[in-house]
Amino acid sequence: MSDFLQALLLVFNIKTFAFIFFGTFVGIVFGALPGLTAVMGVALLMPLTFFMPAHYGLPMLIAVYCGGIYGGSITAILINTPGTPASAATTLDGYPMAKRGEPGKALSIAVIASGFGGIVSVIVLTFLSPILGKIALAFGPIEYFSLILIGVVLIGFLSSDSIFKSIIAALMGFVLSFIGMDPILGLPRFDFGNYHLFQGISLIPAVIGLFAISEVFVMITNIQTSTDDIKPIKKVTYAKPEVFLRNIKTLIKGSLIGTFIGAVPAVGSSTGGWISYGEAKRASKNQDKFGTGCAEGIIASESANNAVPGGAMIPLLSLGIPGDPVTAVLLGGLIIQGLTPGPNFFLKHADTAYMIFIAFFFSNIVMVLLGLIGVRFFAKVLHIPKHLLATIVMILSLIGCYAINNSIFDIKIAIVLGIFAFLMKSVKVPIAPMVLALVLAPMFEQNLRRAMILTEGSIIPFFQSPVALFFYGLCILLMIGLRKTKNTNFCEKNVKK
Amino acid sequence: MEDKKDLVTGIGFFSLGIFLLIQSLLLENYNGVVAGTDPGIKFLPIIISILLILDSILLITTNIIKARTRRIEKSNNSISVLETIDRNKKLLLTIVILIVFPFILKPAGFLISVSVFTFLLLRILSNSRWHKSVITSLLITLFCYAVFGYLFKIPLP
Repeated sequence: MSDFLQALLLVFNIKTFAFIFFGTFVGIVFGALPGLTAVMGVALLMPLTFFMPAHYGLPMLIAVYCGGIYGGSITAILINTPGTPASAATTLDGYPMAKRGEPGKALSIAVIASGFGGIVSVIVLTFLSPILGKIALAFGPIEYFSLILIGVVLIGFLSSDSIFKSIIAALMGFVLSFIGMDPILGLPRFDFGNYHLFQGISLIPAVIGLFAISEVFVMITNIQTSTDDIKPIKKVTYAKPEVFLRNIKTLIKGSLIGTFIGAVPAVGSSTGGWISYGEAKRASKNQDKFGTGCAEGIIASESANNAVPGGAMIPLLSLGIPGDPVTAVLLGGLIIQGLTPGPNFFLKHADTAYMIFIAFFFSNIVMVLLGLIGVRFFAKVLHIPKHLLATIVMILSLIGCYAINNSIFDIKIAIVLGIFAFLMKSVKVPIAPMVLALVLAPMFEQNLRRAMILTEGSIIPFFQSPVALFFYGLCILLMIGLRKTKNTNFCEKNVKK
Repeated sequence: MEDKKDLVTGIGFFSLGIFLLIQSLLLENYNGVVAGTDPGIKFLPIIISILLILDSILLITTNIIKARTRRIEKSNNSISVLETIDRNKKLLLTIVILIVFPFILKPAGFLISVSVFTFLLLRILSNSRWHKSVITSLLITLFCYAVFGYLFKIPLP
């Protein structure tokens, strides 16, 4: 209890709230602008947190995450192009509603459903992660290996039309992680005699290169794209409370689906939105209204995709395993503050854990407030000239890379990886699996080798642990389930992005 | 066009896989206390390179099968290398100044290198007037200096 009160005191001060407001604002803008994503926003602001106390930096990054996922729905509703992949399902009903002359209603439904989903996921996160952390204390290397295996296998099954390309991306993440010292003995690998490479590739320059710099290149190639089709919102009519009361089941179901999907390593927000949308349509009495601008469709998608961040924090905080690319970057943010998430996190840093939960809660509240007040403003944000945006993102990326270690080599790494990621994107190889694999690979190798040392080279004990067997089974079930969901993804083809 | 791209991707990653496999085999394992039971530093790199080779082969073969079953559409609007370069001129110029940037950052200092880089980038990406680009680049540079150098006290070059 004292830890909770301590955390409450840390969050309840003007400065922390100012950072939450700033983070939410940046997140919404990044989410709203097509091409900029929540993960890019978190990666760009991360270097700043190095110079802040944890109770300012972490709430700011969490706020960017929450705002970024919601922000995607603004463009999804206004121009039928999701600002982030997470809001892809929102276009199906959001855009028709806006086209009907009710953009304010659609946006207010989206932000309230997002806030509700976010808060439900925070509640689940608060109660579930300490319990999971306690259970995980009993895990040995074999159990950990089997758990990380779920993430490693699933990243190959997602993100792209071609499974081979997703697997290539995940394998490239492994390859990048091999550069530098090996995680057990500290022996050099693939450093080619370069002192900087011997230290390994730092996560933040890698993420900035892969997500931010490569995205600026994409922006440059499409610099002529016009935003003329965004009409200014003249009169804002908000959704009435009855809309939410009528769809309370969808709201709760969507939030829980999103939380669960988020908690599965490597699955992500867009899958959460699609699964929830599909389930809402299946269970609805008004199936024929889906896709024509019905509130239920927006609620299903938005409550689920904004519940994903809270869900994704569960494996990160309790097991040290990121649930999606943003939490992979947040892991870097925690490490910057000298915090190592995992089973011991709740024992050693209970106050920080509670601070994260409280920050998540307030970020969702601030997001709803900003979303409702700023309906007109965020539509205007979409008119920012692309050349200016590209220049600002590029310069912030470069300085951010330098700021972490005062190293020019980090800038070089980010540029090389940015060019590489751009080339991968141009041949439709997804980037997200690469980042997740980059984070998961050292843990995977460490636990695999530790387990093999303990079992004296035998693989039989890997199939004797009941926990490991449970995780293998879960992995197979999730693979089948996700493949099925992807195959029957009736809506994805209808969306622009 | 898409098929060709996939083929090139497959061949590219196949070559990378071969290179990594050779490099992994060249790694020297530790012969200490745990040497008998620890699979060693080359264990996972070898597995990953083999998987990369196999996955690339699968990408190449599925691509060849797809191309055979599909009627090959000959496009009349094939683009020459020069045309491609012309189309991506902005991108190529950006990459050039980006590669130069880390090398001039230390000798020229933060303020000069960032303002020049920002100015050049703005000139490449937009057709706005010179003075507008100069003012914008100076404002961006000063903003970055204020945030990173003054507010967060990062020792900038």
